[in-house]
Amino acid sequence: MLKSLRARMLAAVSAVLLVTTFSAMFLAQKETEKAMFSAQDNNACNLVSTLALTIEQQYAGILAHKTATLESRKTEAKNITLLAVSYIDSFHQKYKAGLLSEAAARKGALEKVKTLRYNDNTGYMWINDTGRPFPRMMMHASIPDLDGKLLDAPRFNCALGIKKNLFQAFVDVCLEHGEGYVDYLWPKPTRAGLTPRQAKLSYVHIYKEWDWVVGTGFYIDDIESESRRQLNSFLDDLKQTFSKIRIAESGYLFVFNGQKESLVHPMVKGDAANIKNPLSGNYLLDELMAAAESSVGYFDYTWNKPPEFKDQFQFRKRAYMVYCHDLDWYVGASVYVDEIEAPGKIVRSKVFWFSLVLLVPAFILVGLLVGSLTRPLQKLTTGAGEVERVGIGAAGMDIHIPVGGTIETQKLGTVLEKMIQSTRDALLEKQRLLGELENNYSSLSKANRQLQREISDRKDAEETLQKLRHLLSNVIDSMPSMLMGIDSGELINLWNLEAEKITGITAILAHGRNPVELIPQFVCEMELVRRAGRTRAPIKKTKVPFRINGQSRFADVTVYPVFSESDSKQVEGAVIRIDDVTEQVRIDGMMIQSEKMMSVGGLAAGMAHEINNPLAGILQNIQVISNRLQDGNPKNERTAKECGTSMQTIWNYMEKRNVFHMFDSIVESGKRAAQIVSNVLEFSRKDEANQVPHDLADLMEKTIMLAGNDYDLKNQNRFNDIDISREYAAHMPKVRCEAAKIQQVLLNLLKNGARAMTGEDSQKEHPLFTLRLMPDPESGWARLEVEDNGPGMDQDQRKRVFEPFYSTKNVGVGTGLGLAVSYFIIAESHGGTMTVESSPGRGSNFIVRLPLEGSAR
Amino acid sequence: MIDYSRVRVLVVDDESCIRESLVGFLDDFDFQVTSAGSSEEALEILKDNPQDIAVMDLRLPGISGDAMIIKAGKLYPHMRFIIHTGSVDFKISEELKIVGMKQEHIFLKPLPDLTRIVDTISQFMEEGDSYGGS
Repeated sequence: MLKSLRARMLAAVSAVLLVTTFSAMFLAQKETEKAMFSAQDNNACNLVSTLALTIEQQYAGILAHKTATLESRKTEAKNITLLAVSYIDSFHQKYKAGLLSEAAARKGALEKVKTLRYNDNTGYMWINDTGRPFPRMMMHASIPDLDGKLLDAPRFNCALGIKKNLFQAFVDVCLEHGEGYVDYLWPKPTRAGLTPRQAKLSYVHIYKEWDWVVGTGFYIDDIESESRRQLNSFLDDLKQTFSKIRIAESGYLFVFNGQKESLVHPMVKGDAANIKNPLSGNYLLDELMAAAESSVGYFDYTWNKPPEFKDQFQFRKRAYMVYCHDLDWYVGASVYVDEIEAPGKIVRSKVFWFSLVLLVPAFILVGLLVGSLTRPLQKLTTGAGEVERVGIGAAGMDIHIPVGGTIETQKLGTVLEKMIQSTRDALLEKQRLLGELENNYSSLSKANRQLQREISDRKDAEETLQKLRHLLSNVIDSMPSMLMGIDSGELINLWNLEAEKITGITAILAHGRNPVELIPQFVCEMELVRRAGRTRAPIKKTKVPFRINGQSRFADVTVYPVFSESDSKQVEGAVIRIDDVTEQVRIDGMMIQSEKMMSVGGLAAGMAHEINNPLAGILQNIQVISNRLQDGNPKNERTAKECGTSMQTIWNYMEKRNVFHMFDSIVESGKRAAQIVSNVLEFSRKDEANQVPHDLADLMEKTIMLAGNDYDLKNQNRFNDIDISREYAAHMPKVRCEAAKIQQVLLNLLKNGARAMTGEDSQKEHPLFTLRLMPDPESGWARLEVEDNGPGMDQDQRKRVFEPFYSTKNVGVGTGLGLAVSYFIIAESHGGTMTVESSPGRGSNFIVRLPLEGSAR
Repeated sequence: MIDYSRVRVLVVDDESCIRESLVGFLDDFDFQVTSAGSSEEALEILKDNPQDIAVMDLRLPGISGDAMIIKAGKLYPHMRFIIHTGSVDFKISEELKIVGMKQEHIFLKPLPDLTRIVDTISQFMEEGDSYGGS
């Protein structure tokens, strides 16, 4: 697209030409159209204003004529009335001068005034008095029947448009102002007699001396009708004039009044209040009236265009409105907007066609100009193209660049020709050099490839080694055992992460040191290392006691001899593995203890059961024997008699030989044995039905109260002197257990502790129990501790303390079953554990763990 | 003193020294006492010699004491039973309740005061019909 210079130049110049022409054309069209429209618009607007002005002036003329007529009538009426008053006064003067009696003077005056007629005899006078409430007619020139009558008839209620009694109105005006005009309706005397009531105006004047109201009336109906006639003829003129005026093609003028009656309109006659604007939904005349009042002075709307488009309300229309205040008329001109725009449109199309015609020669000129400029360049391009196609090598030796056209193109041609020549020379030289270079390159690249291969092989090997080393060190560090390597000189060369953790010595510090330096206790194990070297086999020593960080711990030590890489018989050192087995040793100990207790418990229970029967044989038969030795029993007496003796004799013998006391001893011993048996039987009893959730703190407190009231404790051991410290966890969950049994265990622990703290062995000044309760939801145990600060136990005592019949008490103090029973209650009946922590001088802490409800054990 | 001479009591225990102690004790109170060493023997006796009360051991060779009570209770509805045993954990079952047994009718061996058995029999006499009838 547009690759050639010629095409581009043509396109550019054409584009500039087109843009300029069309911009100018568009601007011209726009402005012309605006100006034309504005001229039409102003024209219509001015026309309406002018017409409105003319109408107002005409109306003002009619009004002026009307006012002048009325004024002349008023003056006439006033003059005649004043003349009548002057006649009356002359009669009064005569009476005053004594020439006439008063009655004669009055009569004369009335007669005189009666004769006063004017206006072709239709004008007359009357006189009435100022009587209240209704005046009386003194004289009426036109209707003599009224003379002397009281003027109270309803037909006189016609004054001032407010239905007031006419004559009262006259009197009111005269009494107030002395004279005045009153308008009313009254029959009119014509040559043909009286007409129905007509609009009339009267002038009245008071004559004070006799309190007479003198007046005359004149009809004004003819003035009104005259001005109406003038207005109508004016309207007719308007209709004539308006029908001749056309604005644009079909625009017309119209007039309507404030009552929305169309006065002048080519189509609408009469009432136009109901014409609606279908687009806005408002009454059209309301909108037009609003436009007349507005500052704009016109109103735009869409309307139909009869007769062709009677039902299509889609033609934009503009109404120019002016309001004439005096007449309450609205004068308007209505025009279709497209008609105002039409002249502008015609001019626009003319401008368009003219521009188009002008463009044709302009284009031809541009074509010629561009051609003359680009032709020499084209020739140059063709020559250069030839060079490109054929090349400047051997084949293109005879190609030459044409030189011609403008100065610039000539110069360009010469330069090109020279360049081609020098390039040809350089090309030949280059070809020669390339040949030489190629030979050298092939031998060099071969050597290069060899070298690259070697480097990459070595890199791979190194990476693999690095990875392996990393893996190995990771494996060693992740071992849970402490690993220590030593070389043949017994110096450390391996020290893993676990070793760092346990000893707190870093690998960097440990390397190259003797293990005994770091762990002095290790001196015994070095012999093990040497032995492994000699036998060339791993050696393991289990449960070696160690002290680390002040704690005694147990460890399994395994020594693996390390052999030389070259000679597998040569030992080069050893790897020592040390495992901390403290926890395992502890658990093993506990398991042994527990198993021992279980077997002992089972044995005791089995034995106890078998002992109950012989005990029953002993105890129950003794009772029978006792019964049979009693005197007073007829059977006994009878048998004694048969034997030749009496019960009394036998009883005496028994008593004297102390046999009864011995029987008592037998019963007592039997009962004790039975008690022991029943205690032992408790070992294997399980009564889960009675186990319900209990608050351990509550059980503890109840047991403390029980212990305080215990007879033995009270008397021998001053239980209440012992301080009790309670460390109960705040939110201790309830524990499912048998309350009585747990209380039995607690009471036993309290009793034992109290005895230990207050006994003879104890030097404690302040015996103290520390009672603890804490949940351990994670392991699912509730933990209960009873700690005393008594003399404590040595290891042997501690191991055997739960065994049945093991007692530290003096003979006779206890059966040695208390703790054993407690143990079995916790372990067998409740699935818990019971342990003790104690050492001499440090007191004893008995720890009971009971399973928490709902936790998996 | 209450007259027990019309009350017939059967003592069942496989161990003679215990059986004899009970027989001797009850005999001194004028009860009509019979004894048996096993449940089978006891059932045989009951066929011809009706009894009012049986004092039963539980662990017996052959038919156990509680099974014997259930059997006898069905055959002889007027009979009442007392258990005299060394089994600490024994509980009265529903079937035993049907024949009128309660937890307080169990006495554990050794029973140093046998008058408690006599007291229980007196209680049965108060609750039940006149003994020594049919």
